[in-house]
Amino acid sequence: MLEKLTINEKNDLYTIIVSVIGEGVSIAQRKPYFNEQTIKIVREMVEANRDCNEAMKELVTNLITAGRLPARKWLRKALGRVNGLIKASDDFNGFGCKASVKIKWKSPIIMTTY
Amino acid sequence: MKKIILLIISVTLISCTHAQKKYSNIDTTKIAYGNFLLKIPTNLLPNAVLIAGSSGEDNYLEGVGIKFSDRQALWGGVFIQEPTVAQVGECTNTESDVDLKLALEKINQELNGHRLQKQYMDLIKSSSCQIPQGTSSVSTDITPQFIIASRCENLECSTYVVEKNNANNSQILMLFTKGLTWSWIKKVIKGA
Repeated sequence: MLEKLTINEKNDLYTIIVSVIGEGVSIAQRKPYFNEQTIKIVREMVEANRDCNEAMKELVTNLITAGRLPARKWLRKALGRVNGLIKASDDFNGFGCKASVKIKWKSPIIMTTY
Repeated sequence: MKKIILLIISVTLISCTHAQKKYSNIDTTKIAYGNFLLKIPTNLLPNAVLIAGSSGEDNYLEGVGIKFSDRQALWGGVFIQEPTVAQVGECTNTESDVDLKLALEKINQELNGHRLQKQYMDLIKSSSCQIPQGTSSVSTDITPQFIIASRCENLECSTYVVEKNNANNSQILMLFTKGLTWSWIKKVIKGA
């Protein structure tokens, strides 16, 4: 059975999404419906786009390469930590990845909420 | 005996014609992605969720996302080629950039010349773009109208389409699919 996400976890997940694809009303509106599937697709997005900027690279390197957390579950377990790192890094503020990344990942994230 | 053979031949011909007619007459729903018209089999849509796209920043349009089921989906957008485009060109080694670079390389080969706009040529030539080992190859298909390049892994495809005779000024369609075959994608693009 899938665990429901807490409001804080949903907020943290949204922060991570925004750091990659930028702010967007369509994703913000679906935040109440984020679930385990959303976490899975966001994990894939972050791992696939670790080179999109320096802060993202550092984040993924810290969380995965160091092996402190299981690769498949790292995002679910590390939501709070990730959020803290993002807030501490100026590189994330308002800086998304390129258009091709946004187009590839935005719809699949929204689709997980339907 | 002759009558039997003639009967068999007649039945075979009628069956082929009927099958052909049925295939070409399949109901489709047109969905516009910028200047591209995708023809989606209508019988896939009754249970689908359609997610509205939106215009991106200056250089791309997001298309409608279609979730046919939990296992099958299609989404994407178009790059609108304009001189001011700054977001394409420098490779960042993201999966999307690598896919786009591989596809554009193939498309450019098929164009037999450097007719893509500069920002796409920059991406193709970008020395910082590293193709990971084991990356699957790109499949291409050329129609009178389009050059289609696609890289698929486990029924997840990234497809890029350029209008053949207008490569330097046309939009580039980016189509992403899950749970759908390369042959299905081609039919949707070509409207077969």
